[in-house]
Amino acid sequence: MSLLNSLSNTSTAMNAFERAITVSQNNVSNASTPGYASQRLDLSAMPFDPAAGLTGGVIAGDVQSSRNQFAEAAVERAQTSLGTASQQSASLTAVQNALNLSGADGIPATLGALFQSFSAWSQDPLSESGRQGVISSAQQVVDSFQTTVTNLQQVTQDTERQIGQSVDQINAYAQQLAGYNTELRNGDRGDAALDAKINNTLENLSQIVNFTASVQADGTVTVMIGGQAPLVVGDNEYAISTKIADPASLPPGNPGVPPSASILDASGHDITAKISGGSLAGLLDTHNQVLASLLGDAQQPGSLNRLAQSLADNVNQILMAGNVSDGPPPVTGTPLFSYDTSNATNAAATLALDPGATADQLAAIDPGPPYVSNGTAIHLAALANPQSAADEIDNVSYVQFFGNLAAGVGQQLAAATDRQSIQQQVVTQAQSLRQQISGVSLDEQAAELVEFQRAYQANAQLFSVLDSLTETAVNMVQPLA
Amino acid sequence: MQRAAAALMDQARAALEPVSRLAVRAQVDDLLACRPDLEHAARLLEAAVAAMSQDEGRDRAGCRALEQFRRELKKARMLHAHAGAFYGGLMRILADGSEAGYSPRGAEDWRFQPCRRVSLEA
Repeated sequence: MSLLNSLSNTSTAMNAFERAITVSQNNVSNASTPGYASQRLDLSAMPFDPAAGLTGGVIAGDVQSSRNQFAEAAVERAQTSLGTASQQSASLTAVQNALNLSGADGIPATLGALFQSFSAWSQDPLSESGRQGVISSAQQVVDSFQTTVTNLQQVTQDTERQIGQSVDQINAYAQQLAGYNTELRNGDRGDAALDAKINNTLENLSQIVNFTASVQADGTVTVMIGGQAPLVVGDNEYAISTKIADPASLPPGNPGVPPSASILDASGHDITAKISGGSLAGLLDTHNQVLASLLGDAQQPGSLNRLAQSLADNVNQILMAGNVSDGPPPVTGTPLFSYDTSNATNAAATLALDPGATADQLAAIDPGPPYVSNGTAIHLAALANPQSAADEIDNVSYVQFFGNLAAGVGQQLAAATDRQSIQQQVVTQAQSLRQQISGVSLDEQAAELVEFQRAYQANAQLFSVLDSLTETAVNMVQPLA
Repeated sequence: MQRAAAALMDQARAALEPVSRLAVRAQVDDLLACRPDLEHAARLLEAAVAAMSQDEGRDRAGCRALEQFRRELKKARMLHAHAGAFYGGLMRILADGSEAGYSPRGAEDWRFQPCRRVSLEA
């Protein structure tokens, strides 16, 4: 082997060694970098045959990334589902708290107190304190409805604000990805750090919204929301936006209700239906489905408004059918409640004591036949456990109706919490799988090196044996030469 | 040298050839796979030396077999040493980069500290 060949061989080996060091340093330095996939340098042997002038040695090949797109997609899908469940759990908790199920000033408690006041009044219909008790309890019912509506409207506003923030965050991620695509097109395609940033951004994005990401021939990443609406194509970002308004395609809505929240693509097309995952989907579901079912929207009055309207109408009807006194002439009763009758979705918010409702105007007498001096009060007290369909709403009592709508929210919350727990485990498993495939394990690398060293030392002992035997053979031959 | 000794020498050289190929790739599994071939080569060489000790004669074929074996052994040892130096360097990098207590001097200095983390530098 000539000196020149030896130097060339050494230079090649040093180059391979230097590149291997760089790859190893990258792996070790980025062991905890979000989105980083470990890299491996392909080494290959050069022909070794000194007689033919082939000096052997090692040359460095391509740097291979261990990133597995299936593992990445599995993590992103799991994050998307977790994002939805987590957001639904958080939002539904706020809704449930707004309904104030167990508080003394909540709707169930004040309704129960109103029916008890009717019962007390029925036992002594001429009692001033009994009549005042009814007026006082009715005022508490009014307050509880208004407070609940106010709380739910606050939840609605919070949800709308969060929707706007989510959209802003999506657009910020889209801008980052478009910038990364520009760097890729400028020739940084093999940059492990850039690759890590892209995948970390995609994982963050997957927590907010469902999307598909595909790698193009030039290495850039194309992101489509819901698989259809473009968000990032090449170095272009297509920002989405929020629209809080009544759906134009629906019949004229009920004035005053919270408008539906819509997401628009860069061209102004409604893509709300394509958003089925991530925290944004959870927010849209809470806003457009759960809160709308309680407070009403363009298509429905809302269960809370139906309850307020039915209660007020029935109590007023019973009182107005009764008499305050027998006369002559007999004095008929006055209504207890009032509300905005022009807007079915405004009943709960506008529920109030009728201006003419005073303690001495409450009608306790049922003129019959048969005549019952406290018949109206007894009828009102019986609303707690109604015996006729006219005193029910959806075939249940008023208290039970509110219990059912609250239970519906509670069931959705429980289901969302369960999904959140399960999805958290799925995310953990998916991330673990990805870590096994793409992650950098310092322990694994060190253990492998230690094992290598042991194997090397064992082999070195055998080489010594072979050297010794060869020396013996040479010594045996040389004296004869 | 007996023909039998020369033949054993050729077989020993042939046993070393896969060692050279494995030492070039030099992954852990490759080094572990070297061991049976090295042991086989050693046994053959030992037998060859034993055969030679009973022989007063010599021939060119035998000397050529011995020379070829020496060349193959030198090549395999060089590649093996190169691989060892290569991974020794990587181990030093790990020791410096991770501060996890890895030692290029051997497993007895192994000190695993699971809570140590490396700094993030993308």
